[in-house]
Amino acid sequence: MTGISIQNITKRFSHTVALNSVSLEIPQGSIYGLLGPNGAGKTTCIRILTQILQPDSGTITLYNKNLEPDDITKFGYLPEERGLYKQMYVGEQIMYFASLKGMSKIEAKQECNFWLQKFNIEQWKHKKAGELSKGMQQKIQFICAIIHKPEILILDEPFSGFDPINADIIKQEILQLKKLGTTIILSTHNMNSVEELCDSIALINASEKIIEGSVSAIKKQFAKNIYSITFSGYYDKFLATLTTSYKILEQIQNNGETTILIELTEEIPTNNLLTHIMTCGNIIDFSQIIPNMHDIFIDVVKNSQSTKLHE
Amino acid sequence: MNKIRLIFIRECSVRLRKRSYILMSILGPLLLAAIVVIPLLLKKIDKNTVKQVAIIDETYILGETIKNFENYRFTIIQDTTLEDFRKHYKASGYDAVVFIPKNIYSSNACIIYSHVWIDNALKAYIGYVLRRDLEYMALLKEKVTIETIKRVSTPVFVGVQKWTKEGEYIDEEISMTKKSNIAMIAAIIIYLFVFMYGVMVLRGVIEEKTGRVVEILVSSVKPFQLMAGKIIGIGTVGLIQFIVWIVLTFSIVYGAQVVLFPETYTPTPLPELQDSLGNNNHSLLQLQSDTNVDYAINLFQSIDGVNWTIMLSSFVFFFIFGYLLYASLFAAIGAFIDNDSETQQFVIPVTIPLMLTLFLLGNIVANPSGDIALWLSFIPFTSPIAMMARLPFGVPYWHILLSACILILTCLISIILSAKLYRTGILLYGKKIRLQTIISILMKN
Repeated sequence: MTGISIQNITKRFSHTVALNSVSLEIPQGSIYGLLGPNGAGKTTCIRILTQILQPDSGTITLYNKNLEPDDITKFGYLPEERGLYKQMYVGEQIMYFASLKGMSKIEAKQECNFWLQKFNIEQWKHKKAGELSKGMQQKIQFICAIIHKPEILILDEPFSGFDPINADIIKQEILQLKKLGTTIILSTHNMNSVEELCDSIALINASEKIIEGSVSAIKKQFAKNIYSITFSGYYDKFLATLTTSYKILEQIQNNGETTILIELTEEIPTNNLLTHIMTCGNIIDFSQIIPNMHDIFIDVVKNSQSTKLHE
Repeated sequence: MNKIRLIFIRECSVRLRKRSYILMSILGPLLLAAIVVIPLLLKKIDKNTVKQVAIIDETYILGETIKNFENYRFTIIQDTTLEDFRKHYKASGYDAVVFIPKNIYSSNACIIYSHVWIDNALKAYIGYVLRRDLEYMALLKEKVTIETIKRVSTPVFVGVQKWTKEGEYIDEEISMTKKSNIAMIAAIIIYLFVFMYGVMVLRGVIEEKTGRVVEILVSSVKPFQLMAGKIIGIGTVGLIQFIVWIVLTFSIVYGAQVVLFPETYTPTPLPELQDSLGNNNHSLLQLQSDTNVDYAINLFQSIDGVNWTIMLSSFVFFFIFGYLLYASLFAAIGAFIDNDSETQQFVIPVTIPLMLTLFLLGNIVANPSGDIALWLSFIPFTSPIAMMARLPFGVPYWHILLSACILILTCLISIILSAKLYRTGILLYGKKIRLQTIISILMKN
């Protein structure tokens, strides 16, 4: 089910087009990766979703209803450039942000204590934010974003500034929130976390959406006909009988076993390849090489830029 | 509205708890009281210190006609020249010497030599005595007898009694000097608070922007709510501090008056005083008392007699709306600043109207019905100070109303435009403020 639907959103700043008729479908209860190079328009898109900015044209619907100003309380937002009031006590600060999201004082206090306990940082409650390290402040900011149990959580580079242990804690919390039904929009340049967390993604470049879909579908879409085959047998015979339908990209021989990276240059069934290899020896391993998100990101962005240049 | 309330509460609670705020709330009145009390104290000490003044009179005009004046004791030194006296000045023990040259009849000038500060009162007294005696001498030369001179010599006091247009006496107990004091104090207080708390709004906005808190905030509240909550919160903190200052300052000054200057403390109830004066000789008595009362001591007595209802209600009004006008401008400017060091260059242009009015305060007080005072009290950027400076002298009600209406209208326009600029500015980082940008933002929304 679609949680948020963005239809043909356009936003201009003076003479700059920040978003050009961008449409996104964000499934409810999923983790949605919003990817793109710097200056692509991701932050503008997020600011429109959080109603910080209004689009020049286009519509946004939340659960098939137009996004209303009151929906602001359903959103939790952790911006990339984030900060806290340095002179304010941590506990007070969390409760202040919670109250701005419509929580009652009692409820905010309970949730504040719950999260401070959960992150094992109760002792920071009566400290001023300015006294905490950057990583500690990041944790407080994360709590501020989720304390009011938002239905939609927007996280812009949530792992920046965290050490691997704390990044993992946050990662687990994100997954936990997803389990509880929260729709999470994750904007990040960390492709490993995209692979680990995201169900679907959209890639924005130069104000336009380039691709959108589930991570597995996109990977398949960008997978080339390259296979990794490990077999034991007669490699020379294999080479001698190789037709132009195949192209060897790499080959490694080790202890009588040969591993090759082979590309199918024609649309032929993989069974034909397997049958051909079987005549030359025993197959030990056979798998298709699926590109990772990092490669897809670079590939798509470069292609998009070169297409724009040619236009 | 609820969110404005939340922001308002945060702004108040954070600032009210600040050590600097508490310290300033206590130190401010102490400093203000010190400004009033210390000069009086010094004056009192000074008055008790007798100063010996020698007179070298080459014309023998003064003779015995000069009497001791305030804390000055005069001694006529005979058979010496100024040059001889100068050589033995240190050993003589005198604080000053009045030298009356032979040619005073033609030059009309004498000189006071001294190593200490000579106040205007001494100069005026010497001038008065010499003028009187020179006139006597001139008249005697014309064969006019001393008796005749004394008979015709009539001091004239020129008093001012204010009437209404209908010719009714207006019950005024204070002189122009006292009114000037009130006008000056009221105008300076308005200036100080509008400036201080306006800049506090600016700093608050910059703090949220540079601290990167603002993006989290505007994802929860509308920028206008944020701006309004901040302005109202800081304004309230300012008003509280102002009340504390006024109460503490007056308490300290009043206490000092009773303890240190009992001679100036006259607890006569006002109605009794009015009865004793009556209406007809009101001005003359007033003037006579003015001429005898020391200027500085007047400060203590100047709080009686002004139309305090108009004065205080206008003060609160001009304080609030003057603050709102400047605070909204400061908020808009602060939204475009992302570097603390840029603050000063933007503060100065905005406060130029305030400073200009402060510079012209003397003119306003000297001629509260003049063109400068009139126009400045209608221009909304200067009216909070200018109108407060005019009010103690009596201002037609329509002037106050017109000034208030213009100020309210400008305030509303300023808040609407500032909110537009604020909304856009708080999310802009690393961009130079250009007039073109500001105009395009205002036109776009």
